[in-house]
Parts: sequence; structure tokens; C-alpha cells
Amino acid sequence: MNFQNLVVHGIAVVAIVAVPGSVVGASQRSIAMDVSVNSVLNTAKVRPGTELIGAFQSTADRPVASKKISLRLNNVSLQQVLDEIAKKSGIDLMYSRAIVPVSKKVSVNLDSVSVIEALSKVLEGTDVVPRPSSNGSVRLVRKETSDIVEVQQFGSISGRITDSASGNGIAGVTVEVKAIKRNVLSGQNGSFLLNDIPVGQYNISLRIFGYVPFSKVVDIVEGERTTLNVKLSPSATRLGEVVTTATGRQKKVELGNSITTLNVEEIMKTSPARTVTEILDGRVPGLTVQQSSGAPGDPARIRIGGIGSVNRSNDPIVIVDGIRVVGPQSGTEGRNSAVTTNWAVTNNAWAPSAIDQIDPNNIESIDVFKGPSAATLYGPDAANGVIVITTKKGKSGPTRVSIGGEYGLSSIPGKTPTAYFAKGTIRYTDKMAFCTAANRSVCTADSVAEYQLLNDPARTIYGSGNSSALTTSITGGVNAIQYSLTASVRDEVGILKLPDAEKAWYKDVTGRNAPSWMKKPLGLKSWSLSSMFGADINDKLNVTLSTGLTKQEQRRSSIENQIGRLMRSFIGEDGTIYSAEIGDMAEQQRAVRDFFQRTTSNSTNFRGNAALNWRPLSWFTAVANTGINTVGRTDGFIRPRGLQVQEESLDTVGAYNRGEVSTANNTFNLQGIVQNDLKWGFKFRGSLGANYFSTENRTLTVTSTNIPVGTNGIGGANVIARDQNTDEATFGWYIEPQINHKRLWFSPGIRFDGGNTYGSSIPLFRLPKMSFSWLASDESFFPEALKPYISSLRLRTAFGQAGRQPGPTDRLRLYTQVGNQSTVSTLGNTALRPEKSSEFELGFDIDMFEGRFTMDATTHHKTTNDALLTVPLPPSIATSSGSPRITRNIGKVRNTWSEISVGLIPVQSMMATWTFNVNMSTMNNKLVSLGKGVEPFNTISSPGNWEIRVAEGYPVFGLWTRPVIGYSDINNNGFIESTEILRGDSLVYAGQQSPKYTLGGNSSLSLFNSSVTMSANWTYSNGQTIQQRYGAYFLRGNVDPNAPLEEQATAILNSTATGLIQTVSVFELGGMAISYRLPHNIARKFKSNNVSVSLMGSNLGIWSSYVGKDPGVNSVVDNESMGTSDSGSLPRSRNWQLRFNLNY
Amino acid sequence: MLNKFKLISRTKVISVVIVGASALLSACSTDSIVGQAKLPNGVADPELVKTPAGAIRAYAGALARLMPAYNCLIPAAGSISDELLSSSYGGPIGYYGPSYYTYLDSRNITERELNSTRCYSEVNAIRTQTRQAVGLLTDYPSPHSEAYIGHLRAVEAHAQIMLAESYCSGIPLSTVDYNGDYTLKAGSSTHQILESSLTLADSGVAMSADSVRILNFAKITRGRVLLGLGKFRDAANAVAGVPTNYAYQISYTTSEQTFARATGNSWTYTVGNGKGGNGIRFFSNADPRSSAVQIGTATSAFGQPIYYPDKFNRTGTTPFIIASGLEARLIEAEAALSDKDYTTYLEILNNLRRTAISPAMSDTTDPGNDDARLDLLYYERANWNYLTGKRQGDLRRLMRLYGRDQDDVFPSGQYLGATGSFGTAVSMPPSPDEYAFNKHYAGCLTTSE
Repeated sequence: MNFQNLVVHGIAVVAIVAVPGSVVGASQRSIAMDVSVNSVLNTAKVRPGTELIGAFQSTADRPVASKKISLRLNNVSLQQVLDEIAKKSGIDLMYSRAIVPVSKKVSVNLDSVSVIEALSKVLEGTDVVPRPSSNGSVRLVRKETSDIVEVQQFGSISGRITDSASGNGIAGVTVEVKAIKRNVLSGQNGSFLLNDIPVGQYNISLRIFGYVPFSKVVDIVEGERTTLNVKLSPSATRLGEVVTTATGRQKKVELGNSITTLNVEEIMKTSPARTVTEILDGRVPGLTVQQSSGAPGDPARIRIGGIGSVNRSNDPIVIVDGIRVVGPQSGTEGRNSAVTTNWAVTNNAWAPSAIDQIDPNNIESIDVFKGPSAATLYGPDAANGVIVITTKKGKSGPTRVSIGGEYGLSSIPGKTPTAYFAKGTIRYTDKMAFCTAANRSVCTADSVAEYQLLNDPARTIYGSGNSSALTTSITGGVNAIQYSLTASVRDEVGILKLPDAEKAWYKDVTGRNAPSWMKKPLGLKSWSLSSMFGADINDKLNVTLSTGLTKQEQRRSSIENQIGRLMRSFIGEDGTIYSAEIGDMAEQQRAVRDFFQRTTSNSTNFRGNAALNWRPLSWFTAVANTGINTVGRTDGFIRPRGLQVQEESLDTVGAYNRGEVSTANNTFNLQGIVQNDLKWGFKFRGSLGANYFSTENRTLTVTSTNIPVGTNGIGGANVIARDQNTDEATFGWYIEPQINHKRLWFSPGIRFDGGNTYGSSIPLFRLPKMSFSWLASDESFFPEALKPYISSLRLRTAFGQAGRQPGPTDRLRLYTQVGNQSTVSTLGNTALRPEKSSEFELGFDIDMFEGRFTMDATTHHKTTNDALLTVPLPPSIATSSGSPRITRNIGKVRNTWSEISVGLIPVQSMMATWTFNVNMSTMNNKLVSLGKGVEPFNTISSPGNWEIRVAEGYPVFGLWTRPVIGYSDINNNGFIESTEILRGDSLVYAGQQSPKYTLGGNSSLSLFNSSVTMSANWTYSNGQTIQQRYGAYFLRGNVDPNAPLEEQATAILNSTATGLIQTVSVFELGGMAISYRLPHNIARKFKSNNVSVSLMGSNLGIWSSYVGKDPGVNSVVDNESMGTSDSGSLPRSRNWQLRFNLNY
Repeated sequence: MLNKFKLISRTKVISVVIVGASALLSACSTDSIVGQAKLPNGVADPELVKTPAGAIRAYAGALARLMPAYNCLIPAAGSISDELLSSSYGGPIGYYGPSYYTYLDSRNITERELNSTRCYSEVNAIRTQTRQAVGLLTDYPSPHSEAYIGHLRAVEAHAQIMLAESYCSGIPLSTVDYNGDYTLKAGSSTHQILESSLTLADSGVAMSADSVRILNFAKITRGRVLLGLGKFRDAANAVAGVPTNYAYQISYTTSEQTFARATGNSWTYTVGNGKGGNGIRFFSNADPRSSAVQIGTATSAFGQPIYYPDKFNRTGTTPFIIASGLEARLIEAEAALSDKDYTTYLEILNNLRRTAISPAMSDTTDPGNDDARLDLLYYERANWNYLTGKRQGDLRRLMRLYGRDQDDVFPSGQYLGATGSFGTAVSMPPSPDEYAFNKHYAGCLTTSE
């Protein structure tokens, strides 16, 4: 045996003694030995035939080998004797079973002899002798090698490697002592230990992709442990960023997908964003956010890659810290509940989505997986993408406290377009009327007037709002325990107000002043409390517990529903308000007639989860994660009795509705990850996991009318109560092997899924995936001439499938039961199966000039071949529910989108840093096939001159209108009548509901060592088709018979029967902020380490071709098929906030 | 060699673990993990209907479908004929243009253009439900199942008569098959539909023999089918024995019936009063069988008074009578006229005037020639059957069986509203959805009979 062998022996021993402070049993020792030896043998390049050395690890203190012991054992194995000696002496015994005949039977009878004497005695007759080591242990070696061992002296080195920005530990860093060819990987929290290093001076190097390499010369001293704590700085390439995937945290470079990662902590510092959807808006290529109203808390709809499913939800699912939370953003579920019966209760006022109840102040990062190729392993319903939210973790070290507060003001930006009115007379009835192009043949106009009530300071319902917020977070940790606590409160008052005339009217009717909720009817109050505790039980086991609790109270009012009518209301010379409905000239009793309807929504959103990470072996990790997310919500709608405006309406008798909803999501994930080095430089990482997910919904709604005078409850009223419960569960398991060879990562995988859909048992269905990533810039053949400029160049591709379950009762033929009658209402289809979306993506990432320029581009092709379509059937087989429909797996939908993200740092110095980021995407959605024999169909209830249609060759839910053939003043009366417009018989495609092109950008400028930071963000979109239902009123040609005929014709053609359908381009200056970090001497006056103040503005400007007020609030979140109808939506407000932050 | 051994050993361990765990997971039954699905409590368990009691509930459900069909069809058939006139605004075609009933009023109906889905669906829903109920009653019988099935056959025949009388020739008789899929069909001519209805009515009469109430309904239905086929004597024989005071009526809750509900002084319609010049003056002729009252001073969009029929309660609680002994006698009168037995013909008409209404009406006299006698008969039918959904069928029968010109029997000439003049429609086309979603359907065979 030569010296190298001995060093190898030392490595083996080091790995074993790395087990902290434990006295392990023989079997455990054996396992530990095998693992440790194996893991280092490859790197040490030991020659075949090297003998292995076993070890006993005793207590931390090291007794000398001369300690006296007594021993009496008869006819036992040598192994038992050695165990007993180690136990009695507390000394480390190191040996190899290959050279020590451990099964040999021996008998000993020794009294008060030294350990060495005892060992020599029991080893008599073998060629093994004991040799005390300088560190107090005893080695059992062959006689012929024993002399050499004595000459070597050892020390050790340990430390922790952390991210210089976040302070978080970095796992997987290679710590190498090149001189002796020793290395080790850092653990989960970044710590490492290299033991038994021969004394001397060494250059220690640290390497991990994504960080700047580090090296330092250290002294290894005999018998001592040298400490090396290092903060690594992120390198220019972003491929080293860690992404939280379904199978654990992985570096981006290993994944073949385009995954957008948002550093929420950073965004929140310089952005006025207050919700998750606001954070996502404009920052994720391929992701669009549509809003339905500017009311505080109104839910927004998120789409990734456009609309992929005709029949099922197009919402991405949401995962927080590994568990699936209540996350729908559209449909009835998007209204903060997973059931459908609350419409009557909430009177069309939607409460915030659950996704926006997650406190952004407690979010560390968001990873967006954009389709099946990236989301396969996330299981059912992941076909629309996955939003993975990681909350803040604690950091070891001193307690850090951060306090942030803000106050803001809001108002409506700009003006509502002027409306045109033509007063006149109906020919047959001599009634006064508003004449328009639609009734021009029977209405004779007298005059044309311009007016816009919403711009009239005396009558408008647009006022000012305000907001305030306070956030405190505490993080810290000691040794193996970390914690993070975040508490936030927010109070917003919306911009709607009750005009003075309405306040006076209310007082006249009731004798009381209007209450404050009528004067300022919109509001949102919320508070959140989030916590995270992490504990490293030992080096192999850590536990994380995290919770989030949010309570919200939202106020809405039907005054918001009046906007569409108010913007086409006319005021006469005597101050009389008229509603300009075509065909009459009805005087309105009130300009605002529904302000006494109030809707409140109180919800409590709780999330709690526990995660266990166990690494029993160096090559095996087991992860268990379980959690629950509950949303409890109480909605109330009150319309007091007696405020009569309309005859025999609810105004007379009053109404009170109440709904209680609770939703509980339960998630349980179990996963095993193995890692192993294979031959020829290949590395293997395999994941095997299973998920169980269930959701339970409980709803009780009570609607009542005819409520007693003076009450706000259901006592004495006519009451209808209804409850609805649903329970659904899914189960799936997956396997994902990953093979890595130097710069190549290849990862196939497959997932099996099933659920308890009603009607029939569904077998597990298969969803395969594949991902390939190649870091071309690290190849030896990569041109050297380019290396100074290109930090990294990666090519990647991925394929995957994900599914969507059919509706829970789609398989069943259902009968409606009313009293003693049963009538068939739904035909059902027992052959239904989940629809599968397959996605292929291809892209590259390039980082240049030390990270000063970055770009990645990806193209996605997603196809759903067996799309679920609920197709109409002819009414000759009508059921009791009217025109029948049936769901089938017959459609084929294709979504293709491409995205490019570019980052630029034109200036980077201590004095000034200027960053510029922009992302662009194009989106195409097409219904390739409807299935054999299925005709295009309309998805709105009243087809006619326009439809939202599902038709082959066109985007799903495209807008269709009748084409214009021409127009002519046939009767020569000088103006165009609707009968003089010639329209086609069939509807033609007008446009898609989601934008074709989107662009999001942001830029920031940091000055004077980041003491002053300025930032701005903007978005641009083009190709979205919006229907402004009352657009006719904004066109003079619609009412003015003296307008040019072409203008009249245009107004009639585009507005009379269809509303104004327009394909728009929109540029929005979303926000600007300026922050100033106060000098330290001033900060110290606040007893703070760091104090900063910021002025932030949002929704600062819209430049658009849209004829209407705000093209950004046009989606009807309630229905998948309806997206872009603006019938008087509340515009988004412009907000200015003053914010401060103190850090301790 | 030991290193290699260890390497292989670990790889083997990993492989065995993965394969083993995968096999274990593969063996898992989804049902055993996620549990048996439970229906939402807002959804009725479809298995509950598969019992004798459930079959009877399905039978009751089929009968209940008559109400929404008539709630829609009475004003539709009344509007296209001279019984009713829409009181809503009659502007030009467009978003705010005339209502559905204004199109019907003016007989300006063309295929595919009209949103006539609701009535058409409601009538066909009767057919769908009767077939389901018959299937259930057959599979899950109870003591009176045969009579119930007979009743349902008659109801299905009745629904087909509604299609034959109000819709164009060429309506498809598609079916939703019990316990199976559905079958879409091509259009059937009016004659074919009536022939099919006769088979159903025959079955109804045969199977409901133990219930006089159901039997009389089946007989009248059968008589009405034969009348439509021009088999007047057979029709009279079919209804023989049905008491004159027999009435098969639909009762409902107030909220279910919307046609006859009038709010304040407004009503969606007004009683026709010489519509098109040739229509019966239901208000002015002061016939007690079809009397009407002017409500308030409100006027329609065209300045006409709004007349409301006396036979209905304005709160919408008066039952719809869909088959009666009166109808049986009138069928017998038509058979007598067909046989040129003028004495019997006149006696039946006058006997009804004397006994079927109180106070009794004075006798009418023989007009003296067959054309006038036919006019008288149909005038009497119009008044006895006022607003029961039969007038349109009567007028079409005058064209189809007696050769009358459509402009003579249907309102014609200048229409009061802005659409100008009356069109040429005598029937309603099926819903545009039928054209769109029934690949076998090619449209009306004819719209002029």
C-alpha cells in the first residue's frame, strides 16, 4: 500500500465521522461507510482493489488509547469484541472488514488493561495490529503497513456558503482542494465539511453554475478545524437561478423550458403593485391579465398563451410552497369561491380572487410555468400553466426587522368620451324621443347636443379614493432554526361617490343623511399574517412549517352598474335627466338610481403547510409536503325596503341576500429523489412522486324579498334558501429520470392521473414529458473568440402533456327534480375522457458582455387534440333545460405563441446603474377542428347581428359580425337609415378577444450607490378586439342626420346592432417610482440601519385607439366565453403613493 | 473492483427502488385513493328516477312540459293569425327593432332569420320527455303504468299536432332514445307528422282505456289528427262519446305562466280587432266567447288601445284548456258539413251556443251555401277555441284542405308597424339551431300550406 491509498482511507473515515455527534449502531455504520466511500471514490480516482476501512464513531471528545478497560467475553465474534471495546473506551476504532476477520470466534478475560493492550490481545493470531492515531483514534491495520500510517497529520475545514444578495444558503456548491484531489458538495443550507486533510497550505476553490467562482488559500492546522464562510455573488448568466419545480429546486440550466422567475422582493421595492396579478401583469412574456373593473379587489383573469380550452377553465393553477391553493381567476370560481350559486347574493359584484389574497409582502419569488411542456408533473388541470409562489424564508443571523408604510390617493385619469344626442319625435306616436340611426325612419330629429354626464362635476359619480397600508416583517434565525413573520394591513377606498343631488334626494325620501357606505360605496380592507419556521433537525432532516392568513372585507355597490347608463344619459335645459334609450325619451326619476344597493364580501383565506425534507443517504432525498388552504366567505346584499324608484320592483319591497361559502383544498405530496454518478461522466437524478389533491366546497345561499320596513335581515321576508356541496379528488403519480453529461441535461418523464369524476370510474391516464438543455457555450469547440463576449449560450427544447378533467357531471344524463316531477335536462355522455394538451417548445438563452445584455427566445406550440366541446344539438331533441348541448372529446385547438425577453444594462457603476428589460410575445389561437359533423356555434344567448363564436379556422370565442356590403341614400332624404345599409347574410370574423401582440417593459436607474432609484414600467398590446356596447353614443354620425353620409353609415354599421366592435392597440404607462435612501446619519435618528422613501404612481397614462374609456377593463370574468365586452365598466383609477421603509 | 461493485450495487438499488415503487403506484386503484364520487347535492341522482316511483315522477314531468309549450305557443299562433297583435314597438330591423312577435304579427318570417328557438324547443321537449317516461314506466312498472303510457302516447301525439299546425311542413321528428343516445332525423311533411301522430294517438286510446279522463283526451287528440288529415268522418267517430263539458286543462303556478300576465295597464299583446282587415274583430264583435276589455288608456306603440281577453285572469292564474268536449262537437260539426248534413251541422253549432255558455247565446242561422257554412263553422271555432293555440292550424287547414287563399284567411295588406305590409308566412320555421346542428335537416319542405 502506498501513500495515496492511505489518503483515500482517510477520506472514507472523514465521511463517516461527518455524522454529527451520534453513536451509531453497527448496521448503520456499515451503510454510512458504503455511501461515503462510494461518493468520494470517484473523485479520488482510487485504483481498483483499494481496501476499505470501516470506522466506529464515538462521542465527540476523544479519549486516549491508554484508557484502561476490563473485558470478559466467551466464544463471541471478533466483531462483538471490537464493538464492546469501542463502547467501553469511547474511542474511535477504524478498520476494514476486508482485513479484519470479524467473524472469528474469540474469548477474552482482561482486567484493567489499556485499549491498545486489549486490542493486541484479541487480534492475536491475525495479521492485524492496532495503531493509535494522532487524533486519538485507533486504526487496525496490517502489520506491514502500520509504520507508514504514523507519519501523517490531519486537520479539517468547514463553513457555509451563502448568496451575497439574499443571504440564503446555496446547496450543491463544489468545494475542492485541488492539491489533494478532494472535494465535497455543500448541503441544503450551504454548509460543508472536509475532514482529515493533511496539514499544510491549500487553495480552496468554490464553484457552482450561476455564481462567480471563488478561491482562497487557507492553512490546515493539525487537529484543528478551519472555518471558511463565503458569500458568492451571482454571475452574469441567469441560468444559475434556481427554480422551484414539481420535483424540487433545480437550476434553470437543467430545464429545457422557458420559465419566468420573478423576484417579488425586488419588484415590491420599486413597484406600486399590490396583488399577485398586478405583479404578474406585463412582467411575464406570454401571460396576459384582463380586468373587469377598476373597483378595489375586483378579480382579474390570467391567461398564459391564450385560450386553450373551449369547455373547461383556462386559468393556470396556483401552487404556494408546494401545495395547491384555491386559485381560479375566472368563471364563477374566480369570484373567490368554487361554487356557482352566489350570483344572486352578490348581485354581480365580484369579490377578490383567492390568488390576490396572498400577501405579496410575504412572497419571495414567483415561477411561471407556461404550459404542459413545463407543467406535466403538476398534475390535473395544469394544461393552462402553473404559477408557483415561494414565500419568504428566514435567514440565520441577527433578527432583521423591516417596516413599510404607504399612503395613496386615487382618481379617474382623463375624460369619458363625449356622447351625442338628437332630440326628436316618433312619427306614429308623436312621442318625444332620442333619434338615432337605428330609429331614423320613424324619428324626426330636431337638434343635436353633446354631453357627458360622467364628466359633469355636479353629477358625475367619479370622485377620489385613497389607500393606506402598513407592513412589518421580521426574519432571523439561530443555528438550525430560521423564522420569518410578515404582517400587513391595507385599507382602500374606491373612487366612486354619491353626487350631491342624490344625497339630497335620499334625505328627502328617508329623512336621514345617506350613510357613509352610500357616499363612498367601494372599499377594500384586509389584513394578512404570514409565518415560516424552518428547523434543521440534523444534517439529514429539516422541517418547514408555514402559514398564511388573510382576512378581507370588500364593499361594492350597484352604483357601479349604472355607469353604462349614465354615460348615455342626457340632461335637459331644465336639469331633467333623460336616459337616452333608443325609441323613447323617458325622464329618469334619478340619475343614479341604485346606489342604495350594497354588496359586502368578507372572506378569510388560510393556508398552512408542513414540509419534511429527509436525506437519509447522500444519494437519496425524501420529501413529504402536506397542506390545506381554506377560503371562507360570507356575502351579503341588501336593498332596503321603501326606496321606491321603479314601480313594483325590488325597490319597493326590498331584498336581502346572504351567502356563505367555504372551500377547502387538501394537498399531500410524497416524493423521492435519487442522485447517482454513473460511468463515463454521466450523472443521474431521478424523481418518483405521488400527489393527492381534493377540494371540498360548501355553499349556503339565502335570498329574500319583501323584507320588513326598517330591517336589514330576513325575518318576516320571503326566503329561499339553497345549499350546494361538491367534493372532488384527484390522484396521480409520476417518474422523472434526468441524465446529465457535462453540458447536457436530458429529462424524460411521465405522469399518471385519475380523479373521481361522477358517472364512471376513470382509469389513470398517461401524460408524458421530455426536456433537453444544452449549454453550448461551455463546449470545448465553442469559439474562443466569442467567449469574452458571450457568458453563456444555451439551446433548449421540451415537450409535455397535461390534462383537464371533464366537468363533474358531464357524463351523466340528469333529471331535474321539481316537486313530484322529474324531467330530463341533460343528455350526458358516458364516453367522455379528460382532454389532453400537448406542447412543444424550442428556445435559447444568451448572456453577453458579463451580463450586460441578456436575451432569451422561445416558441411554444400547444395542441389539444381531444378537446372537450360542449356542442349544441338541434332543438328537435330539446330537453327541459331548453336547447340541448352535449360534451364530447372532438375538438382540436392549437395555441402558438412566441416570446422574447431582453435585458440590457447600458450603465453599471457604483455611481449609476441603468437597467432596461423588455419582453415581447405574439399569440395565435385557432380552433383547428370542431369534429365531424359539428357546425360552428354561438356561445351567447341571443345570437343576431353579432356573436361570440366557436368556429373552425378561427380563434376560440372570436367576435363575429355581419359584413357590410354597402350603403346608399336610396330614398334621397339626405340621411342614411338602417334600412339603407346592406349587410351580408352571414356573420364574418371580426377579431379575437385576447391581444395578438403584447409587450411589457421596465427600466430602472440607480444613482449614487443606489441611494436614489428611479423606475418605470409600461405595456403595449395590439390585436385585441373589444366590443363597446354603447359605442354608438360616442359617434356623431349615429345621431346627426347632417353628418356626412359615410360617417352616418359607419356609425350605423358598427354600432347600431352590434355595439362598437373595435380592434385596438393600447400603450399604457403602468407605473413610475422614485426612491431615495436616506443617509446613514439620518437613518440612525430613526434608530434604523436603512430608511428609504418612495413616490410611486400607477396607471399614469393610456394611449389607445379605443373609442371608450378604458380598454383595460373589458373582460367579463364570470364566463369563459365572454371576454371583451365593455358595457360601462368602472375604469381603473390613477394612484399616487408615498411609501417609506425602515430596516433594523 | 470493489469501486465498480459499489457503483453497480447502488445503481441496482436505485433501479429496484424505482421499479418497485412504480409497480406499487401502478397497482393503486384511483377509486381506492380518491374514493367514490358523490354527486353535488344540487344535482338529483339520476338513479333515483330508475324506480317505479321515479318512473311516475318522469310521467308527471312529461305532463308538466305542456305548460311552457303552450305558454309560448298560444301567443305565437295567436300573433301569426288574427287573434293577437303585439303591443311593443315596431321599429325597423335591428338591435332595437321589432320583437319576435312583431315579426309574427306581420307574417314577415323567413327561415333561419327568426329567433324562434324557445317555442320550438318547448314543444320538442314534450316529445323528449314522454319518450324517457315511457321507457322508465316500461322498465319500472307500477299498477297503472299502462294507462300512464297511453296517456303519454296521446301527449306525444298532441305535441306533434302542435308542430304540424304551427310549424312549416318539414319538421324533423328526432328522438332522444331512452337509455341511449339520440337520433337526428330529416324533416317530415305535415302529412307525415299527422300520420305519425295518428299511430301515437291510436296507442294512446288503446292503452288508456281504463281511465275515462285520459281516454277522452286521447280520443280528442286522435280526432284532431284525423281532422288535420281531412278524414272528417273518422275524426267525428274518434271523438264520439266525449262529453261536451269535458275539458283537459293545464294548471300552473303564477310564476310559470307569463303569456296572460298583465302588469298595470300594459300587456305584451292586444286582442286582434279586425287584424289586416280580414281578421275577426274579437273586441268589437262583443262575442262572449272571446270577449275582451280595454285596460286603462294605455296604447300600443302604434297608438292602438290595449285589449285584454276576458277569459284570462290578469295575474296569470287561469288554466289553459288544451282539449275539450267543445272541440269534439266542432269536429262532429265539420264532419257533418263534409257529409253535407247541414241540419246536423247547424244543430251542433246552435246546441253549443245554447248549452256551453251561460247565459246562452242566440242561435245562428244557416248561411245558405257551403263556403259561407265553412266560414261560419270556423268563426264558431275561432270563438270557442279563442286563444287555445288552434286558430293558426284552422287557418292553415282552410288553405290545405279547402283550397282557400292565404291572403283571404290570414291577415294581409298594410301592416300597422314600420315593417310596412304583411308578409306571406302562414307557419313558423324551426329554430335556426335546427338548420345549424341537425346535419339531416335541409329546411322547410314548403312554407305556403
